[in-house]
Amino acid sequence: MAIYADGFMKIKEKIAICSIKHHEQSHIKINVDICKNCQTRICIIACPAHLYTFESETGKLIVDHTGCLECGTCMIICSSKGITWKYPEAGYGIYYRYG
Amino acid sequence: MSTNDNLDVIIVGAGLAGLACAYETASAGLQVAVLEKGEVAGSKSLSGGRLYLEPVSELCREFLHDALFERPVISESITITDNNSSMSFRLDDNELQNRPNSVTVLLGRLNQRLAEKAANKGAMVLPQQKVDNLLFEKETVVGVKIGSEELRARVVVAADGVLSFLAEEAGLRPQRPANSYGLGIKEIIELKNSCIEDRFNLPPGKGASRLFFGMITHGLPGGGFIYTNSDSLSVGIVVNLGALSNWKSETEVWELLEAFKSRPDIAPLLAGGKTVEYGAHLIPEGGFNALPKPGLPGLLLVGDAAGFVLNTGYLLRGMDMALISGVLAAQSIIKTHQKNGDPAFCLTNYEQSLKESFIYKQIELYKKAPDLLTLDRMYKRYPQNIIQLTRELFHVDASGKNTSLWNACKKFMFKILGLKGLRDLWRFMRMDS
Repeated sequence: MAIYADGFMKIKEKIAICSIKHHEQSHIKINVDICKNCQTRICIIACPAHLYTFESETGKLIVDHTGCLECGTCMIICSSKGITWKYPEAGYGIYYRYG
Repeated sequence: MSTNDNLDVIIVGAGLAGLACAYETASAGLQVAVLEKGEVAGSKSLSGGRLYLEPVSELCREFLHDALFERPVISESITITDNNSSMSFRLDDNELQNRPNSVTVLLGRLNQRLAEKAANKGAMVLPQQKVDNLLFEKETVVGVKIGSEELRARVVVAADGVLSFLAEEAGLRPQRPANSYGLGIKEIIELKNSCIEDRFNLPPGKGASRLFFGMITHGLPGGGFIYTNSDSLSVGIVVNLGALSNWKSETEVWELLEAFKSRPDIAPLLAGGKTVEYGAHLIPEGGFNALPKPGLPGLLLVGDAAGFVLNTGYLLRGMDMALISGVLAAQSIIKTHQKNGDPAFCLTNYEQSLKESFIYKQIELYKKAPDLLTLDRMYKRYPQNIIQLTRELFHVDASGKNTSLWNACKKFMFKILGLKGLRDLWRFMRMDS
């Protein structure tokens, strides 16, 4: 459903303008067994960076940690504790230049 | 980093609360280290961006002198929205021109300036230092661990923000219920300053705050905001995480901001602007009943880590409370240092001064607000119906008639509000009594 007019910004464009220093190792861990059977997959809807996707072919929840805005929403909102979230390593991750 | 056994204070997090605490303790001659996990001081902080000045004018006068503020706010408005239309109450307060009550800020920039000021007083502000754990001796916190390295101090200040992993480790936040958090998502949109002043009807250099409620959050408790900065707008939405966790929707939350920006009543304000930053952050919105104990012996919580945010629906305050809690923690630390050095005394003293400050008093006064502000009908039914009724009031039909004012008032009282609505209105009016 398109709830916005033409000319809107795609989430990938928004993440691309942010200053983020990626660490090769993900600071977000998914428990495949828990997330496979999740009824809500609320993380997909709730993540403001659109990091979570569900691969229906493999039945796997996938996360792309590189665009993480470090809000922690996924960690708080996941009631089945399928997501383990930590801050990225020192000096890595988001750098809010404006804030 | 070399291990220094002579540290008096370790402050974890170089945001507003941590830096205020660092500035005060370093000014008193204590040995202070501020450990910041981000690339530079305060680079993980994000705010809506409005700071109320009067509550901090006395205790932070020197610290905030020459601080980087964007615009003093002289124009306030609250707007209710349905799908495409909106209705506003606005105050352009020209009385405020010379004595602003609040200013808009860009927190990342502000933090960096304040970090320099704390460093000038002798605090060691160390970015790219991520504290992993607390260091305990019996029941007392005696330092922190960074990887395998231990760093000791007489007291540790957890200024590590809303997600405070230190408060969690200390057992001060055993649970994190979703409904005690708001999710804020915002963009910084660059726009020429003259353009901002034209569009928001502002005198040169002055600022505006615009708050929005209703359908912009698609029925979720929360709202939208626009704050004017010097050469940019802060445009964002906030939704309650508890409600979001039960949201039955195909829409993803980030799309709400895009929808907000493209509304016919918002888009003209942003037209031609360039988005230069996107961000998201949680806000502690649980109010008084969700406040943790503000520390353990050897550990003090300040700012968002302690849950110090007040949301009354039309006022959202966190930054002034962060600053003041940082100063109060500093005062207790200094007093303890001069006296007996007892960490239990320090905690008791901090707790006591919090209770005597506006922080606890105001948050307690509004302890009913979180429940009231998460009622669905505040965001769906009331705004839609009020806009519809107002539309009818201004309508002239083909027969040349317009709606009678008396009938409109009756409709408002009996149909739109009804008993339940009157009760809600009453509860809202008495939110702080």
